[in-house]
Amino acid sequence: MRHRAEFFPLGIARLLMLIRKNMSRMSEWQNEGKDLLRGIAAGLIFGIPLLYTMEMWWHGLTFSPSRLMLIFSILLCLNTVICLFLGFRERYDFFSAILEAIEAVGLAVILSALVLFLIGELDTGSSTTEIFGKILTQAVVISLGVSIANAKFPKNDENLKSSEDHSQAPAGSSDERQTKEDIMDIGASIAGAVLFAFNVAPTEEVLKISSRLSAEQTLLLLLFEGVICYLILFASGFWKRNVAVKDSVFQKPFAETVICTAVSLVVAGGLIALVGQGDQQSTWYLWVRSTVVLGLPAVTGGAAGRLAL
Amino acid sequence: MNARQKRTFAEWISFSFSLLIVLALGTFLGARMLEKEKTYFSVEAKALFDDGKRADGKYILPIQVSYPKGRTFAKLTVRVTWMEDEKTTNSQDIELEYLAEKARQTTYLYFSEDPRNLKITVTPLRYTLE
Repeated sequence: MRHRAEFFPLGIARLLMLIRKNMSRMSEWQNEGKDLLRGIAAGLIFGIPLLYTMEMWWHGLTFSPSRLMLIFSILLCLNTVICLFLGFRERYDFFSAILEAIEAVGLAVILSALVLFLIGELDTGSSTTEIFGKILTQAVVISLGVSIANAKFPKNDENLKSSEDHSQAPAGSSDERQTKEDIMDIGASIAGAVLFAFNVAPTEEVLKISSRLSAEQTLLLLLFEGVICYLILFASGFWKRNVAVKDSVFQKPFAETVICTAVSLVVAGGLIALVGQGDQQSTWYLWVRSTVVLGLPAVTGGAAGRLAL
Repeated sequence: MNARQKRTFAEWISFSFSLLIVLALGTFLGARMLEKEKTYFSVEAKALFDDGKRADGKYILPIQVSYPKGRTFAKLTVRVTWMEDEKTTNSQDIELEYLAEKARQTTYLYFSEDPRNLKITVTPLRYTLE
């Protein structure tokens, strides 16, 4: 019995130590996840509108390996210099900048591969040269976006509006204030979506992509747009909004994501009708597909627009 | 966080993945650079008579261009020639924006007569390397 009495406190102490160690490791992963998500969100904001350029896809195919190698080397050097001053982490020595630049390029490669796959530019029939070439040319801008995450979206920005801080809240009931905030958010989403999608809407790329995507691929792209919106608004921690009516369902992240995505898609659909190519409105089905395709830059812009408020 | 702060295990893991991607990309491009750069490539271009269809009084014939191995090139022109009768020869040029390695592109041509009777020949004419 005595032996057992000694064993228990020792076991509990070990267990507590183990839990503490695991908690600390979990917090490490959480911090790392936040850093990566901030980088991904910034990369998407900067890179998505430029991914819809046909000539860039072709350059990835037709450039010689030596030219692609030159672009790749310049990309790594440029990212290192940027990470020395900005980056998506908060370490500013030379060694850390090199490591961060490699991570920025790695993230950009994954993101551009994912987007190119979703818009049907990469498929199982593509050769390795085609895959690597296209991904590399598209990863250039995304990686620069990842590397400047700290400049536009500081990690601990005290100037950001806090959901808890109502000391400077305008007069009026909480419902009135919330309505005003919501209208401002929707306005910002519309402005951002128009800004990002207006010059993409009349291009041939939207028609080309929407014509080749199947219904399943279009649905997958739509889901991806929702994920991007959530990622930019909530997961990255960029957006701190004022919430006057805290218990409202419409102030929850899921509802905000759906509203922002829907508003941006409405903008995309409107732009297709207004400035899109005539063929895109020939059938409802093609118009819907074109709207979803243009939705990618529109949703990115719509979410980015809210950050500007 | 300052410059001296130790990198965490999670950070090393994400760095390792990124390094793998960057190394794979660099190695691939390096290996392609070391290969002797070829500038002469052969393209296979043929009319697929068995896959042709008749629709709305017209005959539609698929012309398939495939490119087994080599560097991607741009602006490939393929000439399709056919004989309407013993003396009249007609031709139609098809220009493809680019053709990647292992790529296969199909273009469909309309004919008013059955293409099997037209003595069709398909010949690659030119390409451009960027």
